[in-house]
Amino acid sequence: MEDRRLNRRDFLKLTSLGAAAALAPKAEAALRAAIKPLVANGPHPGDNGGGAHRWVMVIDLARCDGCGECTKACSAMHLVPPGQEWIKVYNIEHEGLAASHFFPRPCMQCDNPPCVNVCPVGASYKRSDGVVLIDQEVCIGCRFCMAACPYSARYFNWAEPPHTAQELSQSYSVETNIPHRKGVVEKCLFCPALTSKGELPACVTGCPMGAIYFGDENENAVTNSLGETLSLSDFLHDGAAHRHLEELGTEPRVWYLPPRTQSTSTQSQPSAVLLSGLEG
Amino acid sequence: MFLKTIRLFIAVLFLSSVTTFTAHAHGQSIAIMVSRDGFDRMSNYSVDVEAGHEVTITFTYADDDLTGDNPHDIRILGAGVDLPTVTVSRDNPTASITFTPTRTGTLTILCVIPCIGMENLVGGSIHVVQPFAGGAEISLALDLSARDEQSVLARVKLTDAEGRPISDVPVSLVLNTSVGGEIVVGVPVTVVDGTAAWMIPALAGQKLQVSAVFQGGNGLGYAQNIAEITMPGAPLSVPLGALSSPAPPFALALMLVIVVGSIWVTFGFVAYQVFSIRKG
Amino acid sequence: MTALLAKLLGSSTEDFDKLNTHEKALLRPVFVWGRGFYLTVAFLALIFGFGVFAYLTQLRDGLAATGMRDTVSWGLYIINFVFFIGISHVGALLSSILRLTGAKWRHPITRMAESITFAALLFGALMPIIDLGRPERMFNLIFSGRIQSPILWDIISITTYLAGSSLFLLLPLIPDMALLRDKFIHAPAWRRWIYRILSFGWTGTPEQHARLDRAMNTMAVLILPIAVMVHTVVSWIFAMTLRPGWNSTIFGPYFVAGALASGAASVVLAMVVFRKMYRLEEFITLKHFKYMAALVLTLNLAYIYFNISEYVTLAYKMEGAEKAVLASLFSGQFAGLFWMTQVLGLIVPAFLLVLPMIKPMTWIKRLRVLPPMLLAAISALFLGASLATSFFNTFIGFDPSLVALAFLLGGLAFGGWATLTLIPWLQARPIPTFVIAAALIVIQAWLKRFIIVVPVLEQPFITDAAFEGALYNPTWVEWGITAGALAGFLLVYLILSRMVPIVSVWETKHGEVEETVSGPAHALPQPAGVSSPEV
Repeated sequence: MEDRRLNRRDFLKLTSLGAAAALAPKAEAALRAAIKPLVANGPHPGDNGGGAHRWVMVIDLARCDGCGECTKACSAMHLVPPGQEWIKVYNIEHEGLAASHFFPRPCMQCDNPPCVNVCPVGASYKRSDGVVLIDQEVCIGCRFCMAACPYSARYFNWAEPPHTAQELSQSYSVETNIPHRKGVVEKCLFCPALTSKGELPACVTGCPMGAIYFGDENENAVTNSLGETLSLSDFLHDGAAHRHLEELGTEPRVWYLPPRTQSTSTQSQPSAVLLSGLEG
Repeated sequence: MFLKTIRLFIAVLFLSSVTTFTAHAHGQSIAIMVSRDGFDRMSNYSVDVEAGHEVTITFTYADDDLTGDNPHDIRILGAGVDLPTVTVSRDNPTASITFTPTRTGTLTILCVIPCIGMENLVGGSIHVVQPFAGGAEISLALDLSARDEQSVLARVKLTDAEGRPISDVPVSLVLNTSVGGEIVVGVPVTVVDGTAAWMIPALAGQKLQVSAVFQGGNGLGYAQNIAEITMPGAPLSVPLGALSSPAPPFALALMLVIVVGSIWVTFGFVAYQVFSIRKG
Repeated sequence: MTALLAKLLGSSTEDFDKLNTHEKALLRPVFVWGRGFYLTVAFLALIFGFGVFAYLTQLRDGLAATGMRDTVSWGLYIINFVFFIGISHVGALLSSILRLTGAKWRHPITRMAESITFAALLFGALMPIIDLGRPERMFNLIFSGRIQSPILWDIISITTYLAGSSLFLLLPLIPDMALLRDKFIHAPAWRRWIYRILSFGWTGTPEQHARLDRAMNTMAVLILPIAVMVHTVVSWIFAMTLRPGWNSTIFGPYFVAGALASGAASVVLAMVVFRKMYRLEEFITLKHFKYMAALVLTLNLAYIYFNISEYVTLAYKMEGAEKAVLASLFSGQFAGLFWMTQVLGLIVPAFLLVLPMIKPMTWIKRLRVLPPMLLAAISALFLGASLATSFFNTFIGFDPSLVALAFLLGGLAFGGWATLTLIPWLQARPIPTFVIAAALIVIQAWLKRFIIVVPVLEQPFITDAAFEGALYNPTWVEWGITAGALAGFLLVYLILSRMVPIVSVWETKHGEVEETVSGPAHALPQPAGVSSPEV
């Protein structure tokens, strides 16, 4: 009986010594090194780094007429599979007396992105220039990010997406999500392939009304398809713009200027034009 | 003594500038930066010139951030012109070409070396339009310097063909954004000595491209110049929260290791009890 | 055929006859495998095979073979996942809590409970893998896992719970394995090998008992926080998102309470099935059912409390985004399912569980003018007629709402009368009543998970003016996999109950004097010279 007690005591001694060793500062480095294989920050194919930008989008709801050209331009640019609308134009109705308005919803590229927070394998990640990209070679298709996104901005390839020879000939890049794959998630990317060349994203250029502005927060300027450039700080200081579902704490990077029905101005010009001083 | 100090001060200011361009022109003068991102860092550069007036285009090499040399052979093609190739490279950063377009239309400007970014250097165009109603030749000098971490001083000097200063005229300072937008950041008026100055807010690490434009009028011709400056310091990027970062927060990892580790160590103890049943 | 199978798989009456009475009562299913067993296994294996076939279809066609789409992106698989993990909490409850409180009546049912835990965890952990769009990349969860993600916490806690439950299932099995090793000499080689390995050289010495005791006490203390942690973390798959209806702070305890209730109810079902199937009336008595019913009732009431807490606080405020979800639950698309689940699945079982425990309500006998069954039939007729009259409008063109109302009221009246007259019938038959209540609770558990997952996904934050709620229609692939998982679970459970005695032989050896339902009490023979295990 006594032998057994000693054995247990020794065993307990060993385990407590082990625990103490684990708490030693030297072991912290070892722990970090051991955790490293678990860290999901490997190089992502086609990711050219964001460059020294902080991209931001401004959508003037007073100008959007619901034509859907932005969706068409985006789908053409990224060969988006049928059934998906990476920028989707909703027709929002208000209860009560206010009239309805159109609401283009791209991915908000949130600064506190719920999708990135919950991704178990680090397939969804946020880049230093503000865009949230998806590495579809890591994605396991658990769709937790889709449950977490309050903006319904993510789409899943439930079946094998249709392919063209042109699409398959491109080598996979996280900046385009082309070629598309079955069983993974995809969404609006703020067109990194275009913005890295100094061009505007496809939806911005495709909007005939110039309702979508895009630019660099560092330059304090956003530009639309009509060549109109606005200063960000002007309307942010006025409190004229808001972000959708801001109260959820997602810190979206897409600002909305109010629709015509909610504008306090009695003039017929959309607020963006008034703010910039440009003639309509 | 006081005047000496002033002159010294001005000399120091002049020397502290990062880049400076000056263009003397008989007729219209245009400055174009050539880099792998395009002419003036745009993939669809365009400029208007007057027919029947001499045009001087000064090309400046702007691929200094590359470690190797990326020379460009620039050609201007179109009806009514037969021009030699202009070469700019790291060793030969500026080169100019002077010609008088006689016919209205569009000239194409492109680089003929297959180089990095060649797809951005094939779409430039020069639109030759009917001449303005007169206008004497003038020259416009533009200088950018960083005043402190958050502002840039832009100085312009307007002189006529004889070198006399032109005062009391407005010069527009336009920030060319990284997505091809243009936003007017200030319209200073020249003072007695033909100079004007303006402070442009900037952020650390930001690369600004500023154009100074004098529209002409009152017997004076059109003048334009362009300059770039990169602010010191690291550029601002979007911060990543602990939940969004690819690396695990150390506190969470440690807590998991301790809690889950101690549970599994206890399982080990139990398993030890089971296996030692053999001993009787 | 049976003889051949018997030779291969091990079925022997030779050794069986050498056992004592106590052992004979408990070990017959282990020693003798009959035709009924083989047929059941074949049947369950068939359904499981169909489930595998459905999964292969899904692998080939992608998740488009399911009814899930971009709006309702989680469906039956996640529902099954939460259901199975929930059921698996019963092991912690019975083996741990009852052991720590010294409840001696638990001995005949602990192994049943632990086996449920083990089998349920296996299939519960399988479900999210079946749900993956890229299951071949499953190991990315280890190679590039992010510990900030609740899914990683799930993996860690479920793996830990599976290891702990396996240990906790194995520990009390050791003496019984030793018994089988010693007594089942003519078992086929593979079974003898299992019994030998898993008995760890057990000979019943006091030192070995001390070790076993120490191990079981350690596990009993440890498994409880693990079990609480597991279902809390599972609930955080939902609660860590921003969706209305999921964005709730009480999801942890809410889910744990539901898990314990459904797990306890499933043990009651297992008790009644094994009692009948293996003729274990001596060991699983009315007393056990009554105690388990009390446990189930307590947990059920706790779960009802959490339900009220969640839904009433939401409904009072009808806050922005929650409005759409609550409307669909209370009066919209899911109203029928919601109210049926809450009333029939939670409140009615509470009453059913209480009935046999209180004094018989003899005054109701005066209401018995008609037999209860006849009353039930009449009320069903009336209710059916009220449903049918709503169709008259399309053919005859008169407004039948008054007629329907009359039929409805009549149906409810007769239904109420039938229920009242049923009460004495139920009170006289406690075990069937408990079993009905338990079955209702288990079915409710699955349907409740459906109600938690699907309506929330069907009402996203941003909707079009024309939006009426996305519809989720599970396909045959999802139902097939669900059925296959259930069949697999039952298969594992059944085979376990035939490989080892489902009622622990050594823990029930000290001969409790029991009162059975049918006959007078009789004492079990006391085997001499065997040391009793500590409780």
